[in-house]
Amino acid sequence: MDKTIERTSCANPGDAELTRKAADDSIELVTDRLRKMMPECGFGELGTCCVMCYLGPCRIDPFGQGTRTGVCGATPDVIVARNFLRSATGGASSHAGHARELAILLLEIAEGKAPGYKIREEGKLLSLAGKLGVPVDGRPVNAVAADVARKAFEDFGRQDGQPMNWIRARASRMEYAKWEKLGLIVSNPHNEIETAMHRTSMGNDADPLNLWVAILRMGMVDNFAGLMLATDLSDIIFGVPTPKVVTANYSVLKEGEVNIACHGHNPILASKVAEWADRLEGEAKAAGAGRVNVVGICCIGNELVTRYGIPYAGHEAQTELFLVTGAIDAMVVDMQCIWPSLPAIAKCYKTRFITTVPFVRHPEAIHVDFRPEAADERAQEIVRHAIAAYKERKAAGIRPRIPDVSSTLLTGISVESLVSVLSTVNAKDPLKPVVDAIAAGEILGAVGMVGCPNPKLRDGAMSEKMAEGLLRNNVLIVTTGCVNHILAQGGFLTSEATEKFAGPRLKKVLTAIGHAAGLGAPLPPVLHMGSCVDNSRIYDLLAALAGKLGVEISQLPVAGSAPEFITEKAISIGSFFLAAGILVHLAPAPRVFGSPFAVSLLTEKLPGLNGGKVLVAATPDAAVSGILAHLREKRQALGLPQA
Amino acid sequence: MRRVVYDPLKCTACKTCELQCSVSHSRSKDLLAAIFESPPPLPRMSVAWTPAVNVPVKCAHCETAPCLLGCPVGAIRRDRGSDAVLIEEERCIGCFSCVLLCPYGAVRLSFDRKRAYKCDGCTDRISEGLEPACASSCPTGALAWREVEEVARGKTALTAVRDAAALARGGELAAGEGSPLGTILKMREEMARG
Repeated sequence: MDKTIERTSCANPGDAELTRKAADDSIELVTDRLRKMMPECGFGELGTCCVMCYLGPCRIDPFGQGTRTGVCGATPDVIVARNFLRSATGGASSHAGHARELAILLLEIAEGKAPGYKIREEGKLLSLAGKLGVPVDGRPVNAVAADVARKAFEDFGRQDGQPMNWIRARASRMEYAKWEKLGLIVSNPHNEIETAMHRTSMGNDADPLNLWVAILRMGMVDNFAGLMLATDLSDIIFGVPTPKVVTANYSVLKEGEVNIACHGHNPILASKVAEWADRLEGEAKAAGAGRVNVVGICCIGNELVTRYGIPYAGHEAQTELFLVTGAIDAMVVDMQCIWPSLPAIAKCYKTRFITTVPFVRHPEAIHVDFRPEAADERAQEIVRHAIAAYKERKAAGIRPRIPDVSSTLLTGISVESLVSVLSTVNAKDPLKPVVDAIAAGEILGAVGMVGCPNPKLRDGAMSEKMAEGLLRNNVLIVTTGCVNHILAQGGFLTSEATEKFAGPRLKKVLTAIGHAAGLGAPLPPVLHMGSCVDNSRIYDLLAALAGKLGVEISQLPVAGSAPEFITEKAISIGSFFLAAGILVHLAPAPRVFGSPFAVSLLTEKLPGLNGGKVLVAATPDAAVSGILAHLREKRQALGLPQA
Repeated sequence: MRRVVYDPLKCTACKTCELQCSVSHSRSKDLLAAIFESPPPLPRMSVAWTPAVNVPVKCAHCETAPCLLGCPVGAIRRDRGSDAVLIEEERCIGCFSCVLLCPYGAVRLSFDRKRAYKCDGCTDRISEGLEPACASSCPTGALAWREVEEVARGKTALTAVRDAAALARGGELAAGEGSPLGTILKMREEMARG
């Protein structure tokens, strides 16, 4: 019988159990390496370390006694802005690469070159085609799909300086006009990335303001060429998420079954592995196993759970611990957030570690070159690796230890599914109940909690404590990315969480909506909107709410928070939310503190310009009070009552 | 008796010691807050450089400390508990005799250039059971918080190895294979093998 986790404000008890096991097994974990790394380099933390040319490395003394500029004369303001732009470029490149792979897949499907895939969501395809100006009437679906894919390619190859198709199609009118005025409308993601690398290389842009505008533009690339393009195309190919209740946490691993953990980001591979896991059940049985059990780690977990309800294992920082269970036969990875430490740990437990992307490899890993044209063959090969490993592991007598912890979550909250749930309450105007509740102050505001769980902040249970604090103050939370694993494991994505954590006003409105929608229970107070690329769904939802109220997104009582971020992707996502005029809370502190210009821009000047603002707070209390103050300020400006 | 000892061969001049020294002598003890403090917290040590080697220079807290002996107003004293040589800021008259007398260049001028200041041996940190900030933050171990006796013993052992090797080479050159030293070393080798 599974033990349901009810505790929050503390680490997952499974983590503690497996950390002890790792010590017994002499396995070095991220926490061990982190301890040895402390203190981390202060110049790096401040963003004032420059290694872009061979005059350096240069580091600026933050206390003003030593060096004041780099050897080339670059000031700390320039160095910080250049470094930050390169981070944002790394993030935007990851998302653009993710999106471009899906565009290629869509064209291959349309041309019949990827027989393993099909278009599952014609409705979304047609509506997107309409927005992109692709003719749809009377045409075969595949022809429309091919044109939509070509519209995406046009964006990646555009040289005429005209705005990206995706921005024209998907940005709301009011926001578009605002971005145009600020010079943030981008034309071609590849050109922006090239220009960013060019201007930050030796001896180019030395104007901090010009560089910060480029950072906001990189945020636009991230959202429209990366997140939104990827989400749109994923939905068309793999289906729009629909609500479902799913199991999470360590107990999703099953003793006596072939366990495959999919890790990474792009659903192209994992969806196929999941499909073949079911189809090869016979072979698993022949090997003496119950079945093939696929679970999702990191954002693949989000992708698989939200569309197919596949068990939701754990987050990026738990990946090592999942291997330490000794219960995983194959860990299959695609791209992003795959720690190089993993293959060595996998080896200790005879877990087969399988890489699948040409640019994500490891000398200790098995490489299966995954291509959509041969998806079925490759997926079978991967599942058979796992079945073979299961036999080997049994023979070697490796005894798994799966912590007896589990929780449930409600997932699958796309904008479409949210609207359809809400339309059971009000068919004509589905968003009205939410807008009314915000206007009346029953919902004080909404916060998107996104990003990764960082081991640096895990001891303090940063995300859980922030969620508790916000909910108690009647703030609705939407979540994407790995932080969602934390909140799911903490039991925040259930109806019971509404009873337990939500403030009285929020509880009332969620209960009313839940019952009216026929759930028989309150709507959860934390809504799972998918993986980190699905931040575009949060933007869509905000744009819809702002449109209904007839205001800009920046005027809404909302905020974004990456309470424990790790990756450059969080930097580029945050840059977009700044461009959209939203308060962005970040912890750990972003590497901008070495630049007085950046600090004053992000905390004082930008809010006056477009509403965007950075809040740095490394403790949950400070983060919650900072966010609440912002939400109240926005409500006051709109003339709404305070909750 | 513990001291911060340094190994110039391991110093990469990353200046983490300087930075962490400043932070640990700030009011907030936190880098992101310390950089906004006024006056700024200053490092009490610095990495000196030659084209051949980097040397982290700090107060050695000498037993017969020239700065202490030479201070005309008695503003420098030895802390009984920690054995550290400390400057009492209130009593310092800013004559900088200590700066002139210190053989290392470990005494500096304060931010307003009116007082002398130097490494305080991180007495506060040590009383809390922590190592001095420079040694605990050094990523390569170029600075380390060690027993001085133990350091000396290690050096003695190294000296023996080095001199034995030099003598053996010298003996071979002087007298060929049959030198008495060569015979002794060979015998020892055989004995060690059993």
